[in-house]
Amino acid sequence: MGAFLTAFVICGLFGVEAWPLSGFRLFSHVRTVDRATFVAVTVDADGIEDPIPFKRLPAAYRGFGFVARALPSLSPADRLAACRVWADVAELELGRHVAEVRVYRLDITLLPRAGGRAVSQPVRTLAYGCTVDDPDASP
Amino acid sequence: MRRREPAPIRWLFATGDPRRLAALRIGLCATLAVRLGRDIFVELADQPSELFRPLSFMRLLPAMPSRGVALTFQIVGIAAAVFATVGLRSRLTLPVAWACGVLLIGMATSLGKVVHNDVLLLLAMVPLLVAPTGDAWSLDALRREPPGSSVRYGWPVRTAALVVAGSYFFTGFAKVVFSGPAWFASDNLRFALYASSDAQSVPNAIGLFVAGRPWLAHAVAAGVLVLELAFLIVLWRPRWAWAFVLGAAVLHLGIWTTMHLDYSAWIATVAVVLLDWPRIVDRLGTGSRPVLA
Repeated sequence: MGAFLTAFVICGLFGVEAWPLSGFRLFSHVRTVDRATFVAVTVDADGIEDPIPFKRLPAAYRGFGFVARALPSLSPADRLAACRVWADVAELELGRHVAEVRVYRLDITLLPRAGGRAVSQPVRTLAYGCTVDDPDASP
Repeated sequence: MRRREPAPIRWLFATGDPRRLAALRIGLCATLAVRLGRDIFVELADQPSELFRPLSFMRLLPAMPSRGVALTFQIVGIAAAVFATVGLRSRLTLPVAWACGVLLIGMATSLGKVVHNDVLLLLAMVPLLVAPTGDAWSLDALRREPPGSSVRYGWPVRTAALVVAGSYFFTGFAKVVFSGPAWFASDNLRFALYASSDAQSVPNAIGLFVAGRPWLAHAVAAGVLVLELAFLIVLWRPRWAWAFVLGAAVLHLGIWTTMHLDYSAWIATVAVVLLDWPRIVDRLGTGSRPVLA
């Protein structure tokens, strides 16, 4: 038990994450007026985009935001694999005909606000995309 | 002359009421049973390996456990937690329930982010893994003479209390280390509430009420930080446990209301570990007084 308490204190003091031991970094970083988030959209054969509502999908797919943030650090093969999974789940769970999946980064400014929402429109940047049939992906 | 041990050691290894330890067993195992009863684990088991983002020991696995494995651990874990709650072979059932909980909840923390919702519960249960939690208030103890106060019932309870108080302290400590005074002096909380509200389908009225009043947001943020950093006081002033339990409940209910983040297991753990349940039961007149050594 001494080893457990020692590990508990060390993780807490130095912010080490060794789950279930934790550095307890919950909301520890300051939020600013600017924030970035990611959204994935399916594109059908006519080029019409439709966001994927991950919150309505099974829990297995709700880590989209974390995977999207990590896309630049993934290998091309891993990026493509993840993208294809999102295309597959959109077809299976949402009944969509998917020609392509695009992941956009949304840069949002939280102020000013009106009607309970931020007034300014998010700045959308294409972060990644993959087609369902074509083995190549972009960017 | 016999050397006197340091005060922290004497505090940790003071004698304790077996019913207090039993109360931890009952409350924490019941909480674990509820947490393991969610259907999220079977949903997670269907995750394609391409999306698997394991942390810690979960890196030993190539992918999420299969649906069959998850369901098995869930059934075994819930059954063990229930048996441990009622005090049936708790020396075995409590560790089994905990181990199942670690794996299943470890699945939830393999989506790419550390999930803290059940961390306090799992950590507070660690001292109970090797403790005689079934010596009172249990089916196993029904036909036995109630034991007297002993060190073997004291140190698990105090270790759990140390973990609970320490967890809140380290949460506040991390805020100080990574953000400093800006955590409460800047518009940090306002932006966190705005961002959370914007992610909800309907704007969150309570979150927007606080965020829209900078003085209130700063006050709430300062209050949160003070509560977390002060939590260790409860170890020296156990009679103040009610205040800290209430503070934690308000904090986590506030987080649920504004951000829809479920920290109910933290509220339950704090209440179970820090409150003197034998004293409460004695006052309610429904429990028998222990035979103290």
